[in-house]
Amino acid sequence: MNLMDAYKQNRRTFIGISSGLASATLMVKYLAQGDAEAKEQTDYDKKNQILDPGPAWSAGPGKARHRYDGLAKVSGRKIYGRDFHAADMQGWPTDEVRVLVLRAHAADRIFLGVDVAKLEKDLKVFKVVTHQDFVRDHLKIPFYFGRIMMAVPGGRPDYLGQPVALAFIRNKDYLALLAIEPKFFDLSSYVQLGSTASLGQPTSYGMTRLTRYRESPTKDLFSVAQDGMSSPPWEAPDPKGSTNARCVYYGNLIEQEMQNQGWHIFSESYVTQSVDPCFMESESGIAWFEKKKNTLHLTLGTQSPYEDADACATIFADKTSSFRVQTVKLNACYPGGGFGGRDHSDFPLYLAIAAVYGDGKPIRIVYNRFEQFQAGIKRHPARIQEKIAVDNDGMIQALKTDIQLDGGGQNNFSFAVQAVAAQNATAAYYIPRVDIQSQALSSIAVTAGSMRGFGTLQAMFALESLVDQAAYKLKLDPIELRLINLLNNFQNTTMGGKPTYVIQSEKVLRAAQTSKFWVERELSKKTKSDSKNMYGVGFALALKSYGTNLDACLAAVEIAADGRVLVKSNGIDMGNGVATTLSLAVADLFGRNADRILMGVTEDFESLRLTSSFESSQAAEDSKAKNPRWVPYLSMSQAASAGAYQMRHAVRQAATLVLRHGVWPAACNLANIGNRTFDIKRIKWKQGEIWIDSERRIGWQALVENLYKQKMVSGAMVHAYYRSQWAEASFRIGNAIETLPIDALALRLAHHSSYTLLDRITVQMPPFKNNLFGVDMFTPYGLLVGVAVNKETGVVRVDAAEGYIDVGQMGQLEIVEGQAQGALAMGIGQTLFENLPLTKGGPGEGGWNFGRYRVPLMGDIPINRFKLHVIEPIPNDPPKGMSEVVECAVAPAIANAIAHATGKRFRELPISPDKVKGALG
Amino acid sequence: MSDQTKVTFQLNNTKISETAYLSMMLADYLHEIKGLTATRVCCGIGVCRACTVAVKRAGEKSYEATRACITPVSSLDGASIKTTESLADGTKLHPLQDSFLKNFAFQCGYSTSGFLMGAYVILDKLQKNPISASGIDEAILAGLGDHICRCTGYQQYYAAVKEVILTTPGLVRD
Repeated sequence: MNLMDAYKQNRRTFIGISSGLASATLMVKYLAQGDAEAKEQTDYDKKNQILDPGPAWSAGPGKARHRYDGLAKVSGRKIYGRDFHAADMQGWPTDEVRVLVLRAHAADRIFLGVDVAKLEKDLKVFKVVTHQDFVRDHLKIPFYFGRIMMAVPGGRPDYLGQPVALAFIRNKDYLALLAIEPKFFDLSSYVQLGSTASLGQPTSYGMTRLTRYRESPTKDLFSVAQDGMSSPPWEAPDPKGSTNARCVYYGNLIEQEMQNQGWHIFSESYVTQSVDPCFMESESGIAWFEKKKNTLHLTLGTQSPYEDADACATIFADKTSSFRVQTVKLNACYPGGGFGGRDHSDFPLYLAIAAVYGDGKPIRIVYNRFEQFQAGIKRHPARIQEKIAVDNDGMIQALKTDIQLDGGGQNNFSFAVQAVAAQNATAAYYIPRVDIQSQALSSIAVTAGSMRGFGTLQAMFALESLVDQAAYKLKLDPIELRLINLLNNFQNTTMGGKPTYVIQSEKVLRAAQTSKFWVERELSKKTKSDSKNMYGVGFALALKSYGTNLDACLAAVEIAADGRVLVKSNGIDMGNGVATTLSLAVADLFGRNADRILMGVTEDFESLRLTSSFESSQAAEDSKAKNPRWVPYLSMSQAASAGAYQMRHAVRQAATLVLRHGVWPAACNLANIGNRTFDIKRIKWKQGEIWIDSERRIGWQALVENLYKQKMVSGAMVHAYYRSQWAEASFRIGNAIETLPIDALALRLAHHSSYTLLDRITVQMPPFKNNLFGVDMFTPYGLLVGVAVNKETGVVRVDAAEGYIDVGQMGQLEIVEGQAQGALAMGIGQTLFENLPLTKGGPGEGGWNFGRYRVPLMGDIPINRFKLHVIEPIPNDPPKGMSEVVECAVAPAIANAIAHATGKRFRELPISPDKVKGALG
Repeated sequence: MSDQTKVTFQLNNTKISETAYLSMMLADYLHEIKGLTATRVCCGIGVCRACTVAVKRAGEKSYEATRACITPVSSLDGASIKTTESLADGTKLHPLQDSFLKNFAFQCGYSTSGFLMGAYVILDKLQKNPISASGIDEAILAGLGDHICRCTGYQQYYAAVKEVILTTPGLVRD
């Protein structure tokens, strides 16, 4: 892909390409649920089978006593990909084969091949699959995953850690090896490398330029939303020329004004490092190619089940492929952590490839932690040049930013990470003139991709550090300077669009500004500093989008004859609590929480018979939309903090339909009221009973019995699509036409096992131009941090912290708090000690584990000294995604606290003891 | 010298006699031979403590937090081994499990078994040697301070364990 193509790519393009190639049926089930392929477990605890949440999980409507998935996790049940063997799977052969992935530990030398004889002798390997097999059997590479799936003998590996071969070991031999050589820590001696080879020039995985020049706070002279995207080759500046020429013109104008207007200029360089997500369960899974049925079965933990299945189907989609895969069945397990690192990982692909070479036997791949460091997706390291111009009133008049990210060996999500970094580069501020350039480049480093913060963390470290520096220089209260510059809902975002929901940054800042922590910071500095430590308090404000603005959510809500409420979603709970959140989402509609939730569902949604394709114009989308089965994008990953709002929206739409066409008419029947016009305002739920017009009370079981007796709607299944607004479609339901914020619908009547698909009569897809708005929903988070800096050792200890957040309508406080606490810990690691060399001595060479890579422990965290304050939401504001934003504030808050303590500003992460010692002299 | 040895031990209150390979680690034995996967494996080198189990060795009175990924089965002759699978008494959860649930202590849950068994050992020690209330933080940090969790930030784990220590009779001196 050339630079221009990369530039024009967005997430939908990739999905579109891969979907177009794959003609297989994709069936994704969430394992750890009764109706998935897993056999009933026979060891301990037959009760509460797998993900029955247990009788005590619900604390009444809208509240949970514990996480929905809590009982399974606290009981140690089999729920993770690593837990499962073929013998656990229903219908699978039990004779399992272990597969090891051999990798290139150098990318600047010629790969000669693997030592098959040594593999056979040492490890009882009976089969080796290499690039030659891949080519001979006409396998294809899904777009996300680079040029080649395995290094080519005679050539240079594309990147460190690139797979070079798959080695197959019979299970009995593997178990014998375990007994003799317990860990396959280092497989590098089986990989033969020759002479050194020169590295090629980096290629661009994608670049973005966002230039906006204000005419007034609500109107721009030039912006992406107004004028379209600009891309190289750049033309001569011309205010009346092409988009490119105008972009260059306004970019130059901003630079000139920064020099000529007498503003205070602050310009610095920032560096952020490569870190590993370190989800605790390394990537693991089993797979089986059932040749008789041309079906590929996969069982693993993933954040992107549908897209993984799609990518696996793509591998075998060529007509000349030696393997005919008509169906991909993916059992998605609860992942043991994710943080983005399991979103479009290449692990499922190697699982799929190994499976087809398994000679009919199931195969199992389990990365050990060394392999996970060598192969797993990393956070993009960044080099950022940041410049702001501040006038005498404290207004930030202009921003120029250049962000360079290292994407490593495969594009993966680099194209999107650099774009999101650019879109969030103005943080929480309205800045009249911005010229932001961002680019992700290839290298031989381990692939970087999606990780919590998604480019924003890097960009925000730079801006929030520089804003703080400016405030001190201008002798302004740092929070006051931020207050002066806040983006409000009437102003344009960096892209030139408007925020969809109110951003309560001001309340966040006011709360932090008036806190004792902030008000007494100078006193704290004085009293807590001593002969050993310097104490300081710092603040940072993060604003992070949630959702991708290309969000596709699937949900079904069903009421069983026994009254239980079942929710199905395409979301994945990787620890973020979305299973609990979505179970609670129906509470105000049904007067009760869902009794059961199935996550990661795709197969069931085949009832909607949807098709999707990437289209590149409004006309093309309009044409496609005439097909009532077409949607712009089928199913999103669990990503971008989209569970709280986007996925919840789909669940609530489905639940509302069941309420309106099932529960409500049943209530009218039982209450003997003729007027059946649905009005949600007439409904109240109290102690499991529906109250109509504040008087007639009917219990849930009676309602359900009547619903079933009258054969009314007991289930609804929807697809919802968001692109700066929800797609809206009208459907004929009964005798009425209803317009709803969904674009596909099926209903299930009581006593029916299948859904009836309703063709949409009309549809209003979000305008194609909304692609230009970029992200449009934001969560603000302010973080105060107190640090103690040891003068002798340079060690920085986070002593206390207070967070301030607006999450809209809150689901479950403990889940929100847990996200903030976890992000503080992860942020402390990012800021103070985590660091992966990109090439020499880095994880791609192997040999990295937690003995070498330090992550925060309990003693590094201000236990009992971190308090999260949740800002009162605006009435009817929806819940807001927050799991990413809470990490974005940590690094600048700590850096700003260190500056307060020491007078020194650190602009390169991690702020390690040697750097601090060096600066302190 | 033979690479196998005979060992007899109690695993979750069940007596087991095995001819064990000298090098097979307890975590591999639990997973691959016994099908017990509650003991999670993360780093495999004894650093992260996700695989912590409680082991009372022959002749000892107390359980020790033991890293299953670096403990050879052959070293466990005469030992009593307790894993998360046996914490609950039938359907009645152990107070630690209850407290972990109530405090929303975990998220992805992969480190949970290690924290549970590490905390179980803390309780076992405190039953024999109660401490003053002012020593609770230190006891928790000593018992769980080396456990890695990437999701939670440890605060809710800490709160859950502290709550059990404070509410279990006999662990804290007046």
